[in-house]
Amino acid sequence: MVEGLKERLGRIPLILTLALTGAVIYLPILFVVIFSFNSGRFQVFPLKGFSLVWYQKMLSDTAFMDALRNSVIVSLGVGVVSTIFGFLGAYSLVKAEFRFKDLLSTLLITPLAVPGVLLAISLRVYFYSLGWSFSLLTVFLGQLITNVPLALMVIRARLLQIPLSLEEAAWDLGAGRLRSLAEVILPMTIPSMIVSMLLTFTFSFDEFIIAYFLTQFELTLPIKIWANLITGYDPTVNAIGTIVFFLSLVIVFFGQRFILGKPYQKG
Amino acid sequence: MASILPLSAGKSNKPQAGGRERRIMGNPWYGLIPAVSYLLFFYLIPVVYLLSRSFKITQGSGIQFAPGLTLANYIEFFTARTNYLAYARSMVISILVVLFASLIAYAVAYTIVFIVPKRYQQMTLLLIIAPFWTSFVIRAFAWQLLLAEAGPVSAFLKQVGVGSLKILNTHVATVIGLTVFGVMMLTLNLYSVMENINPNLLAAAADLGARRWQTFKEVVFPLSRPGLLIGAALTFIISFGDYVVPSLLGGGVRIVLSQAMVGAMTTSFNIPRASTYAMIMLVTILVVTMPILRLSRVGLNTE
Amino acid sequence: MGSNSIVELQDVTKRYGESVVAVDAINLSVRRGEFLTLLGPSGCGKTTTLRMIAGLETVSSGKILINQEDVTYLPPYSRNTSMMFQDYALFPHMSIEDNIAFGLKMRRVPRDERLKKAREMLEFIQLPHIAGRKPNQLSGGQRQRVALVRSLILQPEVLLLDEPLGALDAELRRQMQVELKRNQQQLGITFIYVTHDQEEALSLSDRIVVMNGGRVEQMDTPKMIYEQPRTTFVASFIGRCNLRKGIAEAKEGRLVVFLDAVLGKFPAACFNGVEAIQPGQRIAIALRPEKIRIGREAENCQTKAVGILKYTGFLGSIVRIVVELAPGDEVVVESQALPEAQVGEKISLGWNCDDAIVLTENSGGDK
Repeated sequence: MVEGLKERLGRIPLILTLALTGAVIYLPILFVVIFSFNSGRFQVFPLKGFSLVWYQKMLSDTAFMDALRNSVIVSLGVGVVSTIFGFLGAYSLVKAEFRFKDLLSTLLITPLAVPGVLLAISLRVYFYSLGWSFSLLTVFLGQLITNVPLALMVIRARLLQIPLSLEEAAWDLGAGRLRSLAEVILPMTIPSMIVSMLLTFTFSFDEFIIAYFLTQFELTLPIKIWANLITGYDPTVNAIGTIVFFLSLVIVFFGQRFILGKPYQKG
Repeated sequence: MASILPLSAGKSNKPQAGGRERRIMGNPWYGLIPAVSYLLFFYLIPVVYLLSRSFKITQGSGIQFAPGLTLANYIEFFTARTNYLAYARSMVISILVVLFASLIAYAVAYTIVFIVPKRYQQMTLLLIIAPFWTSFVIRAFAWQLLLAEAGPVSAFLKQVGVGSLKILNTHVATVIGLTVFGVMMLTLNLYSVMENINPNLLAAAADLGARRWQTFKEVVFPLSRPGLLIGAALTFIISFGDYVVPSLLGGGVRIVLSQAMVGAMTTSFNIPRASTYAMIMLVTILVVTMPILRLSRVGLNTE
Repeated sequence: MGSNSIVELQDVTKRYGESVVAVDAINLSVRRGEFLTLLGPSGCGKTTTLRMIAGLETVSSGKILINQEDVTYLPPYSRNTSMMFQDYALFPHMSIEDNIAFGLKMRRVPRDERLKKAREMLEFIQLPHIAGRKPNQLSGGQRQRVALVRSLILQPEVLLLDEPLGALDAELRRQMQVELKRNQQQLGITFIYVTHDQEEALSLSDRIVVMNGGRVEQMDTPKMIYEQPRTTFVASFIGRCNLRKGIAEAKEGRLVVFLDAVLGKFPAACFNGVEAIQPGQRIAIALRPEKIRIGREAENCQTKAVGILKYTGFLGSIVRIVVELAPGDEVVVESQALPEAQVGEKISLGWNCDDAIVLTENSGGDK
């Protein structure tokens, strides 16, 4: 009995740490949300009163709406292209045999371990020396660097779970490589491709540093937010932040089963 | 933003015939063409090109370089006080972040896996790490808001009579902002290894007379070490290279390495100098993380 | 080899990398309509051989003929063979009828027609009610049946089965064995069946190919495999067996087998399988446990010995006895009746040398 009590008491600091960490993670965002509904111009207590004025301002701000549109365009492109490249690459990585395969699969994920600012500057110099002008296209090309490896890893994890015998059975029953890909592998991989698309879309939508260096006039949403922050407090950012934060959160919760590493049941 | 998965590079999972044999169903390596050629042209070549510029000096302006190779940029880097101060700040900040984040995340992950009831585990983990996938800029901005001298924390402290909070625009704020990020990264990596620890092992250890602490030292810690090391390496990379948090929370005066790099690029448009910073950043990351990652792999193999 | 053979393997070899030889120059001739089993311990190359016939594994050297046509490098989808996988490999995202109709879909048979065919197949296995279900809603036995008819829908001439009953529990397994055999006889299709279960092999097969270390040890009917194994490996792998090493000697122009001090010498002529023996050769005598007599019955035997009863186990229809002839030298006996002696007491044994089989030591041997 005493032993049990001691053990229970020993857990309290740990549980407190967990709770405190959770609080610290969410506290700043909580204030962003609170201030986004505050009618006052300044972000100080006491609050002035509830209002949706910053949301209205946000919607009537054409620069903001342009940035939102740009972000959606780029992120959709990144999501779709990363997932297609990722699927093709993952399939080959799982099914093909060639020399240096382990080395190549390691190299393919190194972009995830290189600081974004370094990638951004290297591409800026590269495009500059190629004489390309900076636009949403260069942002899209830049953001693929981290998202293609990400998509590849997500889809590869799923492909590794599909027993080899399924594709072999399809071949045995008369399907060629492409046919078995379309009839067996693809339908079974679609959930992970959706997750890949959601994740890469979110990453691209939230990505700042690469976009910042690779565009000139067409701003994406994070750049617009950044610009607003640099030029001084504008409470509209609270409204934008609240919406973007919850949007990302919804997507993450939607894809949670994958993220936690328990994506599929055996069937 | 790196690991949302345990970063196993991916050994091929089956033994296969020697490559020279004629394969009946073909060898579908060509699916790698889009990803590999894209990364070759938009990742490998640009990065190598940038790094190679560190051995050049500009001629005129922009992207004209004087012929021949030089170490002038490196000499400049190691002799100018502003440079090595920026480097030292980045290093100290990253080390502190890795330390704090490792300690906190270890307690958090341990609590989630071994104390939180089974059916709430995934939900708790998700709550802790969900902001990981939300906008980096917005989170940094939120911290700016929170830590401001006129902000809520400061107001609270004044109310209690402790005095106002003056940490925004210092690197204390940078460390706080990056530590929160590191905690999420490390928790995710630690969770995935701790969750795989067979509870029977703990029971067996207890059965053999191990105390809680001994069980932890002999069973839990060695088995969770790979996750800790990988998480720590990734946290180091993010902290060492990040530009957003030092700028929004640390202010623009006492700059870190990434800010120096961006400055060389945007204000003076000196590509060789920016490139030197990039090279030094990359070499530092390699030197620090390679031994860590090697250690973690050894840990995995002995399992 | 005559037109009677439907599948032929000529010196077929499978190497992995430089050093690993999974299948070592094997030759096989499978007769049309027979139930042929590849039997051996895990890693003996039986599954690799099956997969090479299916076209799922590349042949390193040698030739595979199906209906006298060289198919060595033909892809699996152009061979008139069908494979049944150990895990059944049912497509989890398709309904049962779509699974069964898959082969027809690949042949571009119109949907109505192929689903009609699939339903007929489901009638055949008496499971018409599961057409719309998904594989994970079926029991093990149902999956096995569905996998079987999915392989059969293209009317292959040869069905390749890779341990198809391995995932089932013992009771269901026995039931399915009977069913498989019945289906095979009814349809008249050639079955090439891989298993490591010797009982299964003995009860189902027309012929058995015993494999070990990538080679064929023996290819024969179950009866011959059991009664006249040609190598010590076959003798000990199939059924229980007492193996005793010895040496063949020539004595006064006749061949004599010298075993050991306890059992002594025997004229070689009385043994089975003696034709291949040369004087001076190391040999082994294989004696099935049920061929050894005990107690009073032993008195009429050609060879007698006395040992100590170490163990008696009642197995229902038979009794298994272990007798120690000399310290560390034990013989297993299976008898219909319990011995009169008690454990620890002396017991007499006897056997006739035409019940024993002589094996040359160098023929195969267990690696």
